[in-house]
Amino acid sequence: MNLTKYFNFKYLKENFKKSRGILLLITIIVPLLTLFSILFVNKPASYTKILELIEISWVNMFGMYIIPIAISFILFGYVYKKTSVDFINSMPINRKTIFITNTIGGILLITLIQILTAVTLLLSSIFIKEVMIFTGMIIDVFIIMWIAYLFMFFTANLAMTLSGTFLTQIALTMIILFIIPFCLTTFNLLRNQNVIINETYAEDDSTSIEKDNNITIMETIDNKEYTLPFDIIWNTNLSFSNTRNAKMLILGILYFCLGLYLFQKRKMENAEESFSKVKVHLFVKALTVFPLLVLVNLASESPNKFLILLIIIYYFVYDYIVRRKVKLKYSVLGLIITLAVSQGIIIGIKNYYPTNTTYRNSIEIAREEVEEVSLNFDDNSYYLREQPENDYYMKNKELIDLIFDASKKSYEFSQKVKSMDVIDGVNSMTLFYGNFKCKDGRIVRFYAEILKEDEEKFLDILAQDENFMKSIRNKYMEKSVVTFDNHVMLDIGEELELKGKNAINNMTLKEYYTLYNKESLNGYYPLYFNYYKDHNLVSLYVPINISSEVLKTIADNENEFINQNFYVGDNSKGNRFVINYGIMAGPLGYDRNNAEFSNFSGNFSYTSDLIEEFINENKNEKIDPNQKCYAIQLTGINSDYNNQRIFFTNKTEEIDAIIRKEMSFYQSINYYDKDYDQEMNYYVE
Amino acid sequence: MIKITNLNKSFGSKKVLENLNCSIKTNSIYGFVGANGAGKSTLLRIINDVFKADSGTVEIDEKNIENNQELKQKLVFIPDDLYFFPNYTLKDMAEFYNSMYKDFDMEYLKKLAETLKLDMNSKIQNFSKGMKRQCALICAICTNADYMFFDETFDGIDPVVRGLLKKIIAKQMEKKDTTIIMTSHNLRELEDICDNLALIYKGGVLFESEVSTLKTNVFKVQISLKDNFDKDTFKDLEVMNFKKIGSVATIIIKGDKEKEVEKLQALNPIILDVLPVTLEEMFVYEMEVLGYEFNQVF
Repeated sequence: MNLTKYFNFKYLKENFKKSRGILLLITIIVPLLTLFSILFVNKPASYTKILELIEISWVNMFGMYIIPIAISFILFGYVYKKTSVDFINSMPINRKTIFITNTIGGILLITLIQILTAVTLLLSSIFIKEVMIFTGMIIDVFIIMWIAYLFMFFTANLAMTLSGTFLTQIALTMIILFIIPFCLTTFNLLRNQNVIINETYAEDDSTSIEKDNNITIMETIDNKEYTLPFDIIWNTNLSFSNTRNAKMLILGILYFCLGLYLFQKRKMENAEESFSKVKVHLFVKALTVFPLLVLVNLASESPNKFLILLIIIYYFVYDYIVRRKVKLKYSVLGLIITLAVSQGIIIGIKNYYPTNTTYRNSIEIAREEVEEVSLNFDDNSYYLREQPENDYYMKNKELIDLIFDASKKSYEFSQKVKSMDVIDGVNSMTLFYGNFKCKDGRIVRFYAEILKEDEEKFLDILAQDENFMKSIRNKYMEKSVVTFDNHVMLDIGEELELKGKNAINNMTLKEYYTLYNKESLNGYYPLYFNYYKDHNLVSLYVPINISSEVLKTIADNENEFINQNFYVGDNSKGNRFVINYGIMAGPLGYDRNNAEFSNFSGNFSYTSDLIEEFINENKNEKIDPNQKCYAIQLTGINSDYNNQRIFFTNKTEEIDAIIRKEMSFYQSINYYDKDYDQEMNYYVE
Repeated sequence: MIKITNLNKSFGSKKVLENLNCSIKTNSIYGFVGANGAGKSTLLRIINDVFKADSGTVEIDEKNIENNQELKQKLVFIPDDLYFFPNYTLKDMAEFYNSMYKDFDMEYLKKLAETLKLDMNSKIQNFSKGMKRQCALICAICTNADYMFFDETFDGIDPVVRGLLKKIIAKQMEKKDTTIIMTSHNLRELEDICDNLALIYKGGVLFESEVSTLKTNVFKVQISLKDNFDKDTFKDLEVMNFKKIGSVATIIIKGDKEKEVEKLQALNPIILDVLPVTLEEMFVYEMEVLGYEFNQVF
């Protein structure tokens, strides 16, 4: 078999050689900018940060829209110039060989770019001690981006076979990529919520308990998995999806075959003109304008005239750039038709699905229908981090009743209280989720919230269920969690991380296993085990009462880096004693989500001057490990301390006094008197 | 041999080639002449598989050219608008040709570059128009292809270098039985080099002939007779054109020169001068015979 019929290395070499400068730039720009993004954007100043998928791949993601198209242009750009068409196509190499050779060249380049990026990430993880990148995540980024770049490249090549200018190629590439997902997603959005460009629509399920005995569960909006590595088309949330990857690969192969066929049939005389026929040119231009018109129309009740004008200007400028020979009357006629069609579609959709109407289906589950329930606790962490699902089902009528009653109560509470500050700061609700197994065999997922005041009862029921406790233990003791990555982090308001400490990892889990009890469910000392599993960064939240022995081990294993940067002045040595004695209880400011282990949750909003003055006066205080100690998280109080973050002090009474003042300011606002009174008593006693 | 049968090509609604038929023998220099837009360049592009014909066939050595990589090794094409890779030197371009053509002769290229005083290491984009064309021509010649297609061959080249290049082309033909196909809108440019000439008009070959036949068979005389005379006086001759000013007539005659002159002398002319005819004049008169005005064609 004569392979030179399909692949001509000499031609590829010369093709690379003629553009070697730009190709070199294209090859190194993504790895280089990825490194810069880690060094100058993602690298924290004073602690080790676990980088998320998007943090290590946003440069790569933006590159995805530019680099494959640029490679396609470099390799195939000759088709856009009549002189180069004459030159290349008269050479003793046929079109099939040119297409296959250039495609292989592009694949090699993209592979090289992704290998270099992966190596950059790997080396960054090894040599930049402030960041940690899971190897699994690097492999995932490689796979996601490699496939996405190839898909973009194949799409751009397909667009090239039909285009006579580079700008037409870009327009056509975008149309091939986005027009179908755009139309379907827009339609889906209109059908479901009539809200455009509002990411909050993506909330999975919502549960409302407006009746006594029923829970209404809204069906999840079906986010179709299109191509490119995003959940929805205009979202930038990268995620790994086998479905999308498979779609991109299959479509990529299809586009390659189609491109190969069309390239052989391509009318080379169309170089320097968008398309051979004006009608096709006008149609493609209309397709580029259509999404813009729809978005502008749907974004608000009265379309922005300025934006419409800009679109019309674009409509005519497009002609000037890609095809100057279009007669004005054709262009104007095309515009009128485009406007009429898009407006007709929009009016039709708007009338058929009136604004502010939700068309999501809902399932109503009656209390009597529920036979068993499984539960998971939400750790309020970033949504990408997920806990392993607990599939232990409890056939407990008391628990089911409590879920219905407490959910209804929290729903009514949330309707009554307007300010989220009050809910967060005073009577926060615990979010949990799980599955109802109904008598008819259906399994329905639900999310619900209960108020703090009901939580105790809830935990009592759960703690009495030995099997449930065991299921939770087993969940955390999952072998893969422990062995997958030697990374453990004790959360004390901010992430304090320890790398490569097997001893601690095993010890804390062992400890946890022994000590797990009711309090642990509502534990003040959460441990986060971070690992990368099933293409997700998981931050496993383990609520635990850690013994002094564990804390001492952690403290002894702290690295110098953390010690040097974490505390203010002489406080650095005090920390170890504080941890040793496990007296972390104290005012931790700002981070409301960590209410479960901080007694005072909220800012020193009204007393910031006082707390700042206190810290300045006491920054050289020697900490006595035998005395009660408060830890204050310094966030936004004084920029000088932003990098140091935790301030320790034995002068707890002075801090209590400041807290009292802060509370009295809250009281004076008189938002929710009763709860503030309770809160005050609770803290100041 | 190149055989073109019923070739048609349109650009949109505009017909560029219409039922074009033509045969080009090997080891000859074949010239296509015609006005701008007559379809010469399009024809060369189709022969070289740059453009696809709408219908009709192009056979080279009895093989179809379309997507025939091996056959394309035998062809080299220098278009009217030249293209060189950006920032490439003559050496770089030669290397490109070398990588594409199996029989490329790099040593010969160096020799030709030296002869034409072309710096191998200077960027071609900095060369003059004529020098660029010289670069393209010598690269093409050094491919040792069997069929060489030169569109507007000597455009921008000064007469001295033009003569030199013609010698180089002739030498190449001796060396390797090469067939050269040239186009020009200027007849004079081709008359001293082409063996055959074809006139392309409105997408078809209007007229085709061997130059030697044209030159030996057509001649011009200026004649004056004692008695009054008109075109009918010469009815025994194949008169292509007759013009009489005063008592002197200028006649273009087709046929064997010696025999025809003998016939004229038999008329006892007062003046009889046999004058050379340029190729352009021959075309004018041939066109007139075919019923075309030369101004329409060019």
